[in-house]
Amino acid sequence: MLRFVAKRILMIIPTMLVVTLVVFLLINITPSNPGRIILGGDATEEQVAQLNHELGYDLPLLQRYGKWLWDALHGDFGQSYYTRRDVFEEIGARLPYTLKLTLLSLGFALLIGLPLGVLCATKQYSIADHSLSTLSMFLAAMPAFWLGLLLMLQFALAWTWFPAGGVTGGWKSWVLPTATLCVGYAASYLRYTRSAMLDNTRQDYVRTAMSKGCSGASVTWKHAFRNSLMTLVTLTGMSLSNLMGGAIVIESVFSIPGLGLMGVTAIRRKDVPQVMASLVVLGVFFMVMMIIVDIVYAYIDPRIRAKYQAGQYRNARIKKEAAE
Amino acid sequence: MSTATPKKAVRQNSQFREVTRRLFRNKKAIFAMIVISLLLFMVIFADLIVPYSKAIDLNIPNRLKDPGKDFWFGTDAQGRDLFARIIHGSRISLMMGIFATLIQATCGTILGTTAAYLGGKADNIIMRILDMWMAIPSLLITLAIIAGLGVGVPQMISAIGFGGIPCFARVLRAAALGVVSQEYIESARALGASGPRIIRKYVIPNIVSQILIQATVNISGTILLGATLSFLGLGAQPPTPEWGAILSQGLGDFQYHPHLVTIPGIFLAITALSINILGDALRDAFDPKLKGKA
Amino acid sequence: MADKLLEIKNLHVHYVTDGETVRAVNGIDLTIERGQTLGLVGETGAGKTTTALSILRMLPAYTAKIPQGEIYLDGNPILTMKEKELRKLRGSKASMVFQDPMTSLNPVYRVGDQIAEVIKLHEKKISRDELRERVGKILELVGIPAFRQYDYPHQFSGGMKQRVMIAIAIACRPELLIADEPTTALDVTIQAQVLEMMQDLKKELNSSILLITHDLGVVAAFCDYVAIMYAGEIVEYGTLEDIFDPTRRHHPYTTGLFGSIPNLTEKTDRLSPIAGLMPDPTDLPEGCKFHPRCPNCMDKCRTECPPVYHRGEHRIMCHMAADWGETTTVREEETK
Repeated sequence: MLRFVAKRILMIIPTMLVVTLVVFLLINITPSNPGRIILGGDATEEQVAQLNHELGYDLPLLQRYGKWLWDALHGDFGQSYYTRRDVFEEIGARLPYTLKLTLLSLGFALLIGLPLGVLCATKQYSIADHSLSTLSMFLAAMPAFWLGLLLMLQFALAWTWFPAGGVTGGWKSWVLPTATLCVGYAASYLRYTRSAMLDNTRQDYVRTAMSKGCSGASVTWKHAFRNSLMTLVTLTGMSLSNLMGGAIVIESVFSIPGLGLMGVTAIRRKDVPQVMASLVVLGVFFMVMMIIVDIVYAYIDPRIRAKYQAGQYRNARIKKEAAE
Repeated sequence: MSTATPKKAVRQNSQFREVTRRLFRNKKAIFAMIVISLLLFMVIFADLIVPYSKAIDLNIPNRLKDPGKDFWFGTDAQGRDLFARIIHGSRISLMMGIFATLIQATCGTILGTTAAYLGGKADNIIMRILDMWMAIPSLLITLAIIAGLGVGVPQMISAIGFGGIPCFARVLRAAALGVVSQEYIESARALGASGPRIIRKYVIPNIVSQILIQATVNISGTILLGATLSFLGLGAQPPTPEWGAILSQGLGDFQYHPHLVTIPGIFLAITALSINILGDALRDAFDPKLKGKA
Repeated sequence: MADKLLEIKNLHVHYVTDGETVRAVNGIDLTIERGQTLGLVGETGAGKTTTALSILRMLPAYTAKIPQGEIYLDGNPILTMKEKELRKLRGSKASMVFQDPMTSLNPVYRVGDQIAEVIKLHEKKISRDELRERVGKILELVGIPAFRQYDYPHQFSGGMKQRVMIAIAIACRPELLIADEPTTALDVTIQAQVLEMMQDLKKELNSSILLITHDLGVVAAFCDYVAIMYAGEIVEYGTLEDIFDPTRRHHPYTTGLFGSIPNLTEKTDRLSPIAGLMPDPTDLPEGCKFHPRCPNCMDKCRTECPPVYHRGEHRIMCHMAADWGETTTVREEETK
């Protein structure tokens, strides 16, 4: 088990290498001229060329990447071309907001979506099932930023229950943004849970459980839901990156000073150091999340655990038999 | 067949007929298909419904009018008729979604089926690449491509298309794996058919239903993603009307003129909803057992 | 203590889907006494599994309908009693062993826990240690070492999984064990082992067994009584001798069944299978349901449902048996 985790952690490095290289190349598909952009229109050609040389922009593409990589491995990710601040300073100030929004929304989406999904599956075709399923279809189809604006219109501007933006209002500032983001995902989790549960309640082992005299609740949770956990954990893992993407958009709607605005602007301006550093941070974050998901997976499904432990069980048996 | 006198004639039902029959029995699906047809009508005949100039030309004296007799959807801050902008915007929003999904579907299918067919090491390598691809938020990849290519609609289509390939590839690889293990593939190989030929003639026709379903499910996502990017200013540039762009342009005045924001959003939501319903209905039509009634 | 352990009276079961009605079971009467083994024989689609599932009221909720019939398990009215009371009977008074062992066990729980589950459901006060011991003993009873209770289902072979299923079924010493083709999914050698084990259990527990199968050889080795099912009806019923003795009177279907299997002692050039196929359950023939395939079909058979004629315990549902046995009250026509 440990070997598996260690292998995955090691995989992060080559993956990040490939990812950063690919994104670096993508950003530089069309050439940019940071020297000009930083110094503005008034600067002379020489000044621009000078700055470009300092920044390493006159070197060929791959060499530029190599230079970045070399510096990065020594811990120097450079400064933003535009704000001239250390890139990690920028990220450090903004990442907590984005993370908070992402994780809060994820938590609530699961809390709402999963139990309701089970409810819909167990009471299939009832009024609750039909209305909840239709409602979640609506919610899943709405563009998140639109929902955010509508909520803002009603609850912040018309009724002034919550602030319309910023993070200075205490917990109230987080209600609307979280609600906006989590609603769509709750709807999606509801539908997936419902579908997984419907699948699992038709399995043979549920029939076996019934024949033992298990109550409805026991069959639903102990047997069917427990087996649905696997799909749900995968789902959560996969939706994490989309969730963060969504958070970035919501930030711009509600003026939350997270990675969103900074990231989008950095990309538009081809602020290479900033983009690369953000990429590394996010990339590592996601890969670690994926590893955690895989570990959780192994705990839930003994068949997968067996794959990871391959050989351990056999060795233990052999030892035991040898001892007898 | 029963040897008793048949009471009703037994029709040979092809899969296509069965699926269409089930699809048209679904009331929600019919509603969705009507809506989608209306939207496609808008896209194709936009110029005939209302001239493009009305969506673009400035008309300051008429600015910020609420929906009424003269301007059904009101006007925006530049006095342009919102109705005209929405109609022409449908072209951008929908076509963008369709083309991006086409890119995803084609590349994803090729990748997925090839990986499944080749198996072994090649499959492993492709899967690793896909895993890395999916490790980064697709939004980020899309943004990176836009950063590289610049802003605008064709760039957006390429970016979204490219970013969505791994999702497709994964699903189709899973579907193709089911087909590739069948014996008729082996027989085809024994008869001397080449890899690409087998994939083209045997694998793909058998997973067409999956491709169709996944594509339909994806289109609404790509349309919304396109609208989001335009909303952020990275997609359609002014004065091009695109529903997301129209929305972002209305932000300055939306507190007192909510129609600028609510109307484009409604169109986006209804489009996405209808496509989602159709996607679900397709899934049910191809395999009614999944509905849980069996 | 009721007189008979299991009594099924005039049971009809329909499956309703998408506008079609599948008439799976069409008026069967069945009884099982204590300590008796009944073999329910028939081809695929005859309605055997449906009958078995109805005994514990385990038919699929949305599609299955029981328009008529009564079932009594040790006097308990199965079809009308409350779910809560019924659950007390499931697993303890009567239990089931299903056909496919590969999918009938929950993959995420240990095998010992799954056996323990049924014990705990019916004996709530049992202690952890006692439970562990009991589970170990039951596993030994079915021929699996006790320490394997800590393993997961995927660590067992098909034959062993089926033994685990049987262990679950007998854990609470049920009075009736319903086994739905328990050996069909297994190799012949494993089949023999499992059947032998079931024989031993039968003696140990003195339970009644309802064995559903399409294999006449298994029936001959195992059962006291036999019921032959066709198109949702019991066309013949009797003791083992009644059914297997070729000199006695039989339903044409039974004759056909025996004719279809190779005989070890006689030499034949060709087997004589029954012409045609089982009727479409959504579109059953009028009159006797077997008439389209019956070599002795008379005009009467095409229009009138035959009554059941009996001689002793032997019952045959055929017009031709009119000269052989007596009839009981005419079967009630199915109320639509």
